[in-house]
Amino acid sequence: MRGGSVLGQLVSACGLLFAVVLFNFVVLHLAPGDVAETLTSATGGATKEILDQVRHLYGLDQPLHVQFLAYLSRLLHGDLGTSAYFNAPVAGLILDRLFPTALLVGTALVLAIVLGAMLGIVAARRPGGIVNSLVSVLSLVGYSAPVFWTGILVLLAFASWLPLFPAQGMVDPRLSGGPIARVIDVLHHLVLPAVTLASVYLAQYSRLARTSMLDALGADYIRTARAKGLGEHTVVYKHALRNAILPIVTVAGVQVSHLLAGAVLVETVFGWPGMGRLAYESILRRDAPLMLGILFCTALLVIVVNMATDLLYRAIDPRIRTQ
Amino acid sequence: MTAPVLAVEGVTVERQARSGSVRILRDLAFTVQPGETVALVGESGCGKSMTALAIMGLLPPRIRVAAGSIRLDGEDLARADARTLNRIRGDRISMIFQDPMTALNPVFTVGEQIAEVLRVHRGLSPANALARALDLLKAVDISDPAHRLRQYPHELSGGMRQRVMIAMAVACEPRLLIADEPTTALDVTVQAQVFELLRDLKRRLGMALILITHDMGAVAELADRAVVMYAGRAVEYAPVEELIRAPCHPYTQGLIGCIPDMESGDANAELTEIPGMVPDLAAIGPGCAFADRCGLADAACRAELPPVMERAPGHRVACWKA
Repeated sequence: MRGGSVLGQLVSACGLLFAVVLFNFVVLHLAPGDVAETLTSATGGATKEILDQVRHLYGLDQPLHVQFLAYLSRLLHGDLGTSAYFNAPVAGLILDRLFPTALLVGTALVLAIVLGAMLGIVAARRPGGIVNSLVSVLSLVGYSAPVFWTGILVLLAFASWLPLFPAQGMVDPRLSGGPIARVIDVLHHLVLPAVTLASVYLAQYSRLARTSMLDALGADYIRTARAKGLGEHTVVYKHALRNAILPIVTVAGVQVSHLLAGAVLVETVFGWPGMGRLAYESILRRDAPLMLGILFCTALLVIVVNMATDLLYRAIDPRIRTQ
Repeated sequence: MTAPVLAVEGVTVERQARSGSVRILRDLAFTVQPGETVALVGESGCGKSMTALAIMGLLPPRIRVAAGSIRLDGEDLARADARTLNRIRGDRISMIFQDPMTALNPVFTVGEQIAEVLRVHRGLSPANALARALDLLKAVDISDPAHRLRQYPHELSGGMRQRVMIAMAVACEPRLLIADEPTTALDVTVQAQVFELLRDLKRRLGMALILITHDMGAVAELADRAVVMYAGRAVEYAPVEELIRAPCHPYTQGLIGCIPDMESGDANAELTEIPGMVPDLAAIGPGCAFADRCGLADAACRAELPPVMERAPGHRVACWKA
């Protein structure tokens, strides 16, 4: 996408979104089982007549292309449909879950980038130092450990063995107090899942920051900066960091989508009421409208974030701006 | 004789390695008088650039000045701490580099990069520094300077970038400018312009210049004196006119033999070349480092290092046969 005009990007984003909707729709309907079966099995099974009735009710007896066109037309009118399981508008269900996920993913991303960049910079400045070894070990462990496993370990350590943080959920239902107490309560619940989700990406960012900082510090323009008589602080944090930050921004934009995938696992482990868990549950229930809605919103989010990354990149790298 | 701007005395630079240290520069000595141009000449790897970096205090990690002194107006840079060096660099002594394509920071405008020097050393406000940067761009003959000020390095040609580097280097009117092969990466036509600019600025600002080059033509045109270096050692040191007319060291004779003689009009005149390669610094024997490539060398040359001897006033050479 990089390099094109903003208008061109919007057009290609719409095309991409359409492809995503089509693909998801087809794949979901190729999978065996439908919502009629899950609904009726919950009440102890049903005859073929009842199943057909339920399918007719949800329009599942129509040919696939008719179903798709109907869905697309509703989508264009801003209607994500109705969840078959909850019998409520999909848009409302997603909106309820959007904030917790955004909070979790946003916190994890900021934590990973800021902490990772700091570790990476320190490591790059002292290639033989302790921090450098720490970054290497951390990268290996953080990158290879599955996030749900890390989550369970974190739970055992800080919720069970050392009960510093709550183990499940986002709010304490027993809590009575003002808005400030509520915010603190949410932050308290946020610590473990956010740290768990950040751990994977922290490893990557610290490595990336270390490499790009080493590259920058070895560049000719750093020698020029020193020859100008600039202090070490200006050389490192102005001249080198400003260049080293570029690859981090690129990777961060790409990784938002990975982060959303990781959020499914972390939300499940920590009982976090987010979109990831909603997606997981809607798959189990064969709730096609909800599933499609979540996939659509996720795709939209990823596209928007990528475009935002592009714009940000243009702002910080003059070489992209003028091309 | 007036006091020199720069006096390099007995400078030895070593690279620390696991197998011990390797001497990159060996007992180097020369002076630069105010307003004078001194050329450092020699093949790649002879230590010209390392000499410049040692003077600037910009030696890479694990390379250090092991002995000797580098005095700028009497102040020893080889023993100066980081703060002192930062105060001097970019102000009283500055340097331009071989490759202008990579020497400027890609994410800052040309104006910001020039203004930065003035803000650090002269304490100018951002607006004043930028105004002064504009004057400097005019001084280095860049077309449309007001526009260039707001451009980024990648929007400029190689020649213009080198002019920007020069503007940055002379911003504080230094006593000494070191130019490390300033035209090697540029087109031939641009080379002449850059040399002309350097000559012009030198006259206007009265600064001294150390020109590092392997181009004997440039030496003949620009320099007052030259230091010929070989394998980390100064092998000959003389006024340029005398060096070209009567080179003493076989290596200098070889270098001068490599210049095509345009004036004679004899296109078929044979160019000589120096046989062999620059030796590995870690494997140099006790004798003259040039002995293996020298037509005159004998057993004595390989056995003992020739001392630097004065042949004529101001003309020194290190060769048993000269």
